[in-house]
Amino acid sequence: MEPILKPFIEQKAPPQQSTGLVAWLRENFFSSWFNTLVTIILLWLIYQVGGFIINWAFINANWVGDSAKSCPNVDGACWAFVTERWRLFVYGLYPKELYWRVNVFYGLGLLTIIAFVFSFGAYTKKFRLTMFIGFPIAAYIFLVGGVFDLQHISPESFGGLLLTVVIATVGIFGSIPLGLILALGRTSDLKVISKVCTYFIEFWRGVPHIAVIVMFVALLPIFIPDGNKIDIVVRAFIAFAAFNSAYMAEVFRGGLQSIPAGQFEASKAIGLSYWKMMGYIILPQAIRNSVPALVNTCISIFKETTIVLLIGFSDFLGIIQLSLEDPKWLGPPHIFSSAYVFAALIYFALAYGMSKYSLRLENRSNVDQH
Amino acid sequence: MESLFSYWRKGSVRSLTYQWGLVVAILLALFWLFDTANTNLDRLGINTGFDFLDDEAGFQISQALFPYSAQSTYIDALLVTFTNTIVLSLIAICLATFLGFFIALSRLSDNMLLRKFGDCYVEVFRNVPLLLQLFFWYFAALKLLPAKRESINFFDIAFLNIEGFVIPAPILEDGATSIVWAIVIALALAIGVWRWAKRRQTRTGVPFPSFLVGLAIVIFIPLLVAWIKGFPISWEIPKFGRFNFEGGVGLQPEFTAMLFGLTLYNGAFIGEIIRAGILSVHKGQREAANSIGFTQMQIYSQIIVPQAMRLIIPPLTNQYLNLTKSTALAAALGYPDFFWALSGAIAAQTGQVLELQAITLFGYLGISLFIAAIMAIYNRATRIPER
Repeated sequence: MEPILKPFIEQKAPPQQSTGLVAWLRENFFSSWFNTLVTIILLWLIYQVGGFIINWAFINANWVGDSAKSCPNVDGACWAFVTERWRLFVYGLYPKELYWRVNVFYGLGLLTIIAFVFSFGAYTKKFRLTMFIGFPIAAYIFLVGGVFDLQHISPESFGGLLLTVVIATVGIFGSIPLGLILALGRTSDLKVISKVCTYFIEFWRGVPHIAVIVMFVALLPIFIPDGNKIDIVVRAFIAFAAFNSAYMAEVFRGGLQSIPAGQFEASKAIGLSYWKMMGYIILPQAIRNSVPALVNTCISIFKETTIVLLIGFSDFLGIIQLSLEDPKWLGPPHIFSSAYVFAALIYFALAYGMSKYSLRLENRSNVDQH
Repeated sequence: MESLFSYWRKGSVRSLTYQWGLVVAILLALFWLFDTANTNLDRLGINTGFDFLDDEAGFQISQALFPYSAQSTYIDALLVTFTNTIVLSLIAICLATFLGFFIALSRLSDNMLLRKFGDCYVEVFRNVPLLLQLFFWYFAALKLLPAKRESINFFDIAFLNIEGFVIPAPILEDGATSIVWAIVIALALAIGVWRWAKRRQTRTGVPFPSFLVGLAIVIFIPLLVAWIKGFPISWEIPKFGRFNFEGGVGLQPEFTAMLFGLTLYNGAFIGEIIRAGILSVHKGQREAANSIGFTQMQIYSQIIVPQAMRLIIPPLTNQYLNLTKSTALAAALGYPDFFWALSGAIAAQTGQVLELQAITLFGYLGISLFIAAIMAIYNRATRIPER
């Protein structure tokens, strides 16, 4: 009969090294034959693509010039298009001698972002509130003017990155309060109010943004009494704030739903009214919980601003597209790709920055939880 | 006065007042809007009503899936372009889901290089506006393609050139419909087998290879029917004639660019959604399954995916809705979709903006509600049964 226990256990090979560079390489890149294959293919791909990018964007690129003729090399980027026109792309048709006002606006925008990204101890809250309310007002004063001896500039002459940032700002700052009201309405116990808000939100979320903008631009004049005119730019602003408020409302609703029922019950038990309960107990927590989603919505609002070019506005992408159709620059497709790559880099830098910020917030709030 | 105030403090009275107040305010606002619109329309001499839809459209549509000519009515034009929107959305949804699945896999891989590659892809495509990506594909990338004569050849059956993508066209002969029916019946049968196998496994614990059997049913029944009918579907392979391609279906560059843009952009989002769903399944689930001897395949198909699905479906629905809505950007490239017809061609000819806007909004709202309803049914089927 075969013995159940073998007298000796076979000697095993020593375990593989599990620390150090070799182990790290093996674990991450060569853990199986399939992984090794993937690693080799990807390395080859990186070599090819990287080489192409360096050749295209730097070695074969044309950096200066004033027309399509100065970019004869179709295997390289045509940065001349960008270096010649960057002022137009950044400031639009804003009068040249008043560029400082746009710069002040960009600076204030940066300050607002700083206020929300960094912490300033006891002053954080005050600083943020000041910027949240003060920035739109200051932006209006500096950009449109007409007060304090500042020359009046019609919003219709905004263009380029300036228009993109202005539309995004209006969309974000307009939709946050509206969205908050809608979210409160939707989660309200009052059936009629909740239903009305729900239909309003779902309606805007169900139709394409471009259709909403076209609708506002085309139809608003029909729905206001005769003799009143609303500037076409303002109509687009209203449309932007209106449909984005529906998305913001869903963000805040998510935040409200994350609050445990005990918080509501406890507030009611100590006799707080609805508004006191919301203002002191629920909203401070709900808004904090919805900040990551809120930043994501801001990113999509920022990206969505590009659709205004379809109703004839020259936002950042619109003015680049217009310049590309300028006979001076009309040429082979490599000018188009250079222009789009430049635009993509700018959009990417801004959107990616915001998304990194939201990721940091998410991690921070995860740490907070006990 | 005292009693009035005490009434006001009663919750039910107050809430009724608020709600009726809102209803009255909304009705008043609607009435006011209607009234102003009426006066304005009278003043501008614009007729209202949907009668114009029966008039002759008079414009061509470059891609029509059913017979359409310039003599057709506006309703025909709307139907053709609406179908274009649906077809574009459906194909893009399938491709983007497929791509997203692979992006998610690569981001969950053991290979660090592949993981980083997936991360980079998602970050780049998510953070650049869709319209810019569409412009890039349409105005820059597709313009680099060779002319018709030097088309890029895919195994002599499909050709890519600057004027689009030419692919084989199916030619349906007599009896082709029976194959469609065979596919439908086979699908129903496969679902039936799957449900029966699942019920039997819950009752007796005996597993059944329902996936393989289902796959066999779906493949073999239509093949069998096709064989009986003598293969009534043939493919017309495009061939380059003297000046142009003969036969096959040509996909316009606008359509190709839309498909590229929509797939790559939404694929990044879907990849992120699937990854988040799979990561959300607790690590203990995988360990528990491992410890009771499940194979890797079983862990994924029985433990991870069913739980991840519940978290994936809601945001995925949202993404599908976003994709469908963003097909309206096709108008920017001149692809004849629903929005192109409504906001461009028909609006310019008739000037009936009010009616056209209503059709636009309700058309897209209809698609959105339809997708939401289908996903809600699926969601109900996969949700955890509660007491």
